[in-house]
Amino acid sequence: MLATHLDAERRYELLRQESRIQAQSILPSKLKDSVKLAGISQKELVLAKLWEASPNRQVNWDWKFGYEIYRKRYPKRFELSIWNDYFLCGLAIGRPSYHGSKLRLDFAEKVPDNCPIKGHVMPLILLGAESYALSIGAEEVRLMHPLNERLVNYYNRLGYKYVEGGSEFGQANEKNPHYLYKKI
Amino acid sequence: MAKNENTYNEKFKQNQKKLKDRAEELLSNPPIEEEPQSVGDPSKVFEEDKTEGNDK
Repeated sequence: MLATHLDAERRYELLRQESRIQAQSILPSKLKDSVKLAGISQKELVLAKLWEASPNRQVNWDWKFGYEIYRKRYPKRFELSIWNDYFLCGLAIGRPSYHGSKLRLDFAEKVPDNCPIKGHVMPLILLGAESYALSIGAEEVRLMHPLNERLVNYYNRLGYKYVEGGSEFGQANEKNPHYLYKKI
Repeated sequence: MAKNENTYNEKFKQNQKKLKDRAEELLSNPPIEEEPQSVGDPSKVFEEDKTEGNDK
């Protein structure tokens, strides 16, 4: 690993920790005692592996394999795990844009079964992402490639605006991606 | 040094205020039944970010 890469990893790990502490400190009382915002480690990856066996899981993403590559490639990344007591409820990864003015959330997933904080995982992930964006001085959070209109409507309700990349969901591409955004 | 510290503290407080308001918006009454299982497209997680042109 290059020294500059290692240096960025260390500096941004501090920012990740700081942003999680900041978000954790302002959680509403109904969640404050049980919910914990953390990073992603082997512990989270082992538990996320169990999600793959669920018949209710709707996506095909290998967290262990994918996260390991993501971590090595993006030292300035955003990463977050959401815990409720000892139950892993969600995971998310994202990264700042080249100039750092935007934070893009590339992928986030909640546990497919029996979530004890149902309805709160995605809002907590957004709060964590917005906290990290503020910590690194970004002005906008982007949710990349929403897969369908239902998702767009859901994130609209949480304050995000949709930008069409192509004329239909399947037609957006790398040069012209579709996303939702919120200025922070 | 003290000036840097003050600036940092002010920024921290500003961020704290923004986040507190946002936490209220996001978590006081979220759409529980509509919560999706995921956001993002796993096949595009590693795509090159070409959106920075919007900054210029």
